[in-house]
Amino acid sequence: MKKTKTARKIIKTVKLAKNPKGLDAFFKAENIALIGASHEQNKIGNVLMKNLLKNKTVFPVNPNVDLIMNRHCFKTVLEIEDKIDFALIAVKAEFVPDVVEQCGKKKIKNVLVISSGFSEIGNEKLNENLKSKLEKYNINCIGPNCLGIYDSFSELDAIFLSQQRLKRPLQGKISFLSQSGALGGAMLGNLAEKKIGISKFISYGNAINLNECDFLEYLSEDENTSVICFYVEQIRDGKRFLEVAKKVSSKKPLIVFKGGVTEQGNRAALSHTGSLAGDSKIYEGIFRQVNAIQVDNLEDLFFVANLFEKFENFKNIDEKIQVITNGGGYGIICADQIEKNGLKLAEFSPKIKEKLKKEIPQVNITNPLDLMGDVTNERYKIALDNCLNDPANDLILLVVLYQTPLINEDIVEVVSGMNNKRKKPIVLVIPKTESEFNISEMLEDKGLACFEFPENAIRVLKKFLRK
Amino acid sequence: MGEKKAKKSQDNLVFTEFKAKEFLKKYADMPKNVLLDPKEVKKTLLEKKLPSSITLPVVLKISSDFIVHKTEENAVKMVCHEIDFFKTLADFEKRLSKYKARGVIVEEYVKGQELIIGIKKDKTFGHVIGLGLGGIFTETIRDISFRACPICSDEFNSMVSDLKFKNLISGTRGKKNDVEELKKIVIEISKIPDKYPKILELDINPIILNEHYCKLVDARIVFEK
Repeated sequence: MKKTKTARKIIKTVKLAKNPKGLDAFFKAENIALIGASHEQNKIGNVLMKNLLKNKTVFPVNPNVDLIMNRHCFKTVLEIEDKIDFALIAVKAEFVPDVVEQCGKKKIKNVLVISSGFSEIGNEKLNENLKSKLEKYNINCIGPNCLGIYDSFSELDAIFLSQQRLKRPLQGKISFLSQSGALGGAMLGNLAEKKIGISKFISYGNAINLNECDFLEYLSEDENTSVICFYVEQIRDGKRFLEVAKKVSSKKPLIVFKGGVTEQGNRAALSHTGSLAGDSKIYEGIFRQVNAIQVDNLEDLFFVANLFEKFENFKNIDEKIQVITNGGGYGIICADQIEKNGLKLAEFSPKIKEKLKKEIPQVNITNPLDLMGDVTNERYKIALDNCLNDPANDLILLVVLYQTPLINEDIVEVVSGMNNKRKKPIVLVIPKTESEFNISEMLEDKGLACFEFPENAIRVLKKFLRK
Repeated sequence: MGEKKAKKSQDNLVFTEFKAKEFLKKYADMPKNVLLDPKEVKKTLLEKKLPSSITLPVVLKISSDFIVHKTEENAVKMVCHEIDFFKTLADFEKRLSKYKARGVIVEEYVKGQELIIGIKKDKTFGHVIGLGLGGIFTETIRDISFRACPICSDEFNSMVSDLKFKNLISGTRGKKNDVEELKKIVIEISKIPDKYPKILELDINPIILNEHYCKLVDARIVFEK
């Protein structure tokens, strides 16, 4: 029928290259020229120098200085003899086009421009000037007006925030693409605090030539990325985005948070990115069309990504949830939220129901399964084991109220032992308490997904289940 | 879709109901109608006799390229009784020359769920198609979902499932609406911009869906000059 014809037309074959646009030159760089390097403490050119120096060979460039951190400082990039993978540019905006011209002459094919003062403040002339230089020498450019890039695997730290002020997150397989730099920076700190690991972080600012599509393509091919988080205010290349994002989301979960969805937000976006934020309803539809998962707040961007990363091996999970709790109230809230979010409470299969009745006769075998206040580690173990073996449910929502007297810290071993069997996703709800052991932290360290409140857990689960 | 845009589009080519329906007739069924030209209107009023082709209830509309919003201009009315028919016709007749109207359309009255199908040329994504609740609910409830054109069957389904009031599309109180027909229409309409890239806006509002049919009642198209 006509249907297939249309479908084929929409999808079109977009070939994703192995190293799209040669972005490896940035992320796997060894030799980096830092143009605008500085010896003055806390200057951007100084912070960048320190961050890069930890693991890379840096060629500082600054015509006014001879030595920076005991390294010879070059007057221009043209003086450097070695091959440069990319030039990191942090000079005043008005100097950027000239500096790029020199990069072009030095045959540097990749530049990352931190400097701001281009189209985002209405300086179209400077923007065009930079653009023409980039085109003249066929140079790939990240930015301008961005925070930089970060790669925990290649140990590239090209962001202009000091490591004292902003602790970097752990290594992980979530990559984060952000149009906004400030927001990206704040989130990195947040992720470090939450112990959510990161693979790559890309702040791409004004996207003068490399735009969201190039980065999405690259991340979808990146072996160290299993989930992509994307903060965006305005898609630059809508037509290409439709094709690329569809392809990307068929390979890896693509989670999107769109800023500027309200009129107020839109106005802020206008002054902030130098472009109009689009109509939110249209964006919503487009994200659905390309099978991206749209979240409504920043926190969920990473909570959802975290679940995808943790449950990477579970494919096509259905929505029937088994709740196990040791507090009746929590069970009720869970059941309410499951229904409200359009998910389902599983029903026990008759066999497992009988087995549970025999093994824990003091418990009423229903869903939510309330193991009651006198629950022991052993009772949790029996319940978990049986529920994980019950084909009637798809995943377990496990509430542990650590205050009850007959459980102890060994519950961590019980739960993580069960989780290690990798039979089904287990999501935990553990209210934070001041106690001898920080049970939720201990469980998180064992690789479990923990939430403080049931409603957060279920809202995030809904997105994870793509409902 | 936007009223504001209609005003802005004065420099563009606008098809109001008559021409828009002519343009869209191969894409969707429409209510049966007859156009009474000004002479026939006069004659009908004089004879006080319903033309044989007409059975009540019907909807009377002034057909003019100079009326963009018929309701606001009191240029559309549903009539159930003969007495109303002649009263309305007489009222319309007085205003025909003012609107440079081609006459009065007498149209079969169709009843069902009012929906809107719209196309808009979006500056980022190109032509997008919207499907939502139409008629008086369009602006108040704003329940509409969009996709980039053209769409396939699965995309139509997911578009419907995005709507808060999706049940109104499938049918309520045991009635099963002809969603397949709607799907066919939406998919075919989503292909129009490929053929006519100059379309800026296309509003089909309402299109009426019930168990038996899906009929396009009113439409407007704006082409870029």
